[in-house]
Amino acid sequence: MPNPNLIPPIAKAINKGELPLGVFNSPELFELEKEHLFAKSWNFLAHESEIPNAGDYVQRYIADDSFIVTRDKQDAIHVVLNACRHRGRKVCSVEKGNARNFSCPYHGWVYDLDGALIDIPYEDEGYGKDAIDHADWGLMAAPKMGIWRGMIFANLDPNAEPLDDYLGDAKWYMDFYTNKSEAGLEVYGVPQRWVVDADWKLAADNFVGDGYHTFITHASTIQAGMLPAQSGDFLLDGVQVALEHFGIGFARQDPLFNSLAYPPPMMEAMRQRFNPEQVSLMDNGVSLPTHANLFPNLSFLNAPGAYTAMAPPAPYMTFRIWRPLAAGKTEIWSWCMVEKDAPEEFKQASYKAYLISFGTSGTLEQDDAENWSQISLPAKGTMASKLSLNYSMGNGLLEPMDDWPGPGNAYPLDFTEFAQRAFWKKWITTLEGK
Amino acid sequence: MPVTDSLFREIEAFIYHEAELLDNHQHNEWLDLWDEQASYRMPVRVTHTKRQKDQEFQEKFGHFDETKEMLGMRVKRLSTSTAWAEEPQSRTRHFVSNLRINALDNGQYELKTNLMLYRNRLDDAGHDLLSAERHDVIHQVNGEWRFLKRTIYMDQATLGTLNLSIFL
Repeated sequence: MPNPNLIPPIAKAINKGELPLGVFNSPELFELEKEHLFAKSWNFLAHESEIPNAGDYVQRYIADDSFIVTRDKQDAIHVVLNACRHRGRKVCSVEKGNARNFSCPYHGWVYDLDGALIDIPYEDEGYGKDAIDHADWGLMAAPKMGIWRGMIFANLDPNAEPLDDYLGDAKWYMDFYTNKSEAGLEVYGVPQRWVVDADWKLAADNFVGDGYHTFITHASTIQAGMLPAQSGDFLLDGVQVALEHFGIGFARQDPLFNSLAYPPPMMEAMRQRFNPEQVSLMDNGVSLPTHANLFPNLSFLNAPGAYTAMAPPAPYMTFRIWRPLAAGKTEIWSWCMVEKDAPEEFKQASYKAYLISFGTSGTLEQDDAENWSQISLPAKGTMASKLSLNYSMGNGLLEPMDDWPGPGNAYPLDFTEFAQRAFWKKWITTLEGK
Repeated sequence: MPVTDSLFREIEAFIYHEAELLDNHQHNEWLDLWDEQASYRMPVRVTHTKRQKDQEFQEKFGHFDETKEMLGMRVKRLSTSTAWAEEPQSRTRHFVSNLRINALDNGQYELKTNLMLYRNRLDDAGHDLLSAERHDVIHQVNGEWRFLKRTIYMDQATLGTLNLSIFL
């Protein structure tokens, strides 16, 4: 049994602007997280564009639980547990496809696209006629599911607040990523998947509010030209916003970063779609937002990437899930997202910029994951696990901006750690069941 | 079309030479083996049912989808002192085998090779093992062999390595 007394000392530490290193490789905390955090949070699974046609499905995970996300013949989307009700075998063994129904290879129970039980072989002989009420034995639906801007989420807690309420004020910021064009986003290709010896929380902690690391972690990528910034501290005097469950960073000073290099017609379309307060940010020297994380483990990044001297840098966008596999072990799912109605040449350019920057071979991603593994592996040491990490950046130095038009507390630097401290406070209250 | 024994040996020596350059981290010399118009791709593989197996490799979406210029940017990054994913460098060994050669009638040759790539880092006693089939197209420029095209078909859908800071 995990020890619930683990949490109060961590809560005490973060209130002082500190954190014990051991949180990044603790099997006990991992068990608590599975039970009390991932089972009670809104988890991103898929984007609608991944299953455009009736019968399309993808297999997705919440920690160890496998789900099938399907589109039925009435165009409704379902999230069902990928486990036969007879012996629990996965009824879907593949990552993606199109099916009329799901048939269990063990004893042949058949389920409809919405999870309803259609057939039990030899039912009358084995169970007796009408002895089993099929309505009671369909694939289990995720207790809650929700879709926002084509993003499909599920929550394993039947008492969870609706997705829309959970997103709350974060939607004001997620608009920048999801509402740039009339047609919205689509997944370009499929998610890339790979496994790293790093704790999921390090990745979330980085994306939620680490504007600080770029000048050193990503120095080589700036030097070699893929990251078009005049210097590595392009987020220094940007803006960081901390909400309880969401953190986001805007770059400011670097002309190469401003507007993230979208072509003028796309910029114009954004201006039409964003509200006046959102547009006002774009007119005040702030870039479109770059990094963000929605608690617990859905991260966003929108940034420019250079892949050729023959064309200007292209903006790319990625959604990513840090799927926890074990303490200090994460499967990364990285989606390349692009505006569905963008010109094909823009999509191509955005894809290339993504590829050289993020994902399995992305040059920024490579150095991030190297850092996170070099934290997670040693974090289990007897002495190291108790090491107090400094999480105090910005404490006593910065006050929230009073002229910021968006929700949450905004700070006039992205070299600060307000959003990270908010992440940890949310992590603590979630594990405490508050 | 099949090739003569002596040509087979020559091409075989070329691909062994390439593997040696990679394992020795001689990235600039490796880059010189690529034609200016070269493409270097690793399509993402997705597990599908046997019936839908034709959709297994993503035509339009890769782990790599490089021009020579992009390869050059990656090589340039590796030459800096702050490419942390390769500082210190991965220890790799490219085991290349099962060479098959098909001569085309335009002076180009299609190669298929099997690749077993061993990768070890830092003081870890373990390793990553990446297995793939590579489809190459090569030709000669001024008497030197050059790669025009490489497509890497990985034997994994979820990659079991920290990153692709190495070339396959």
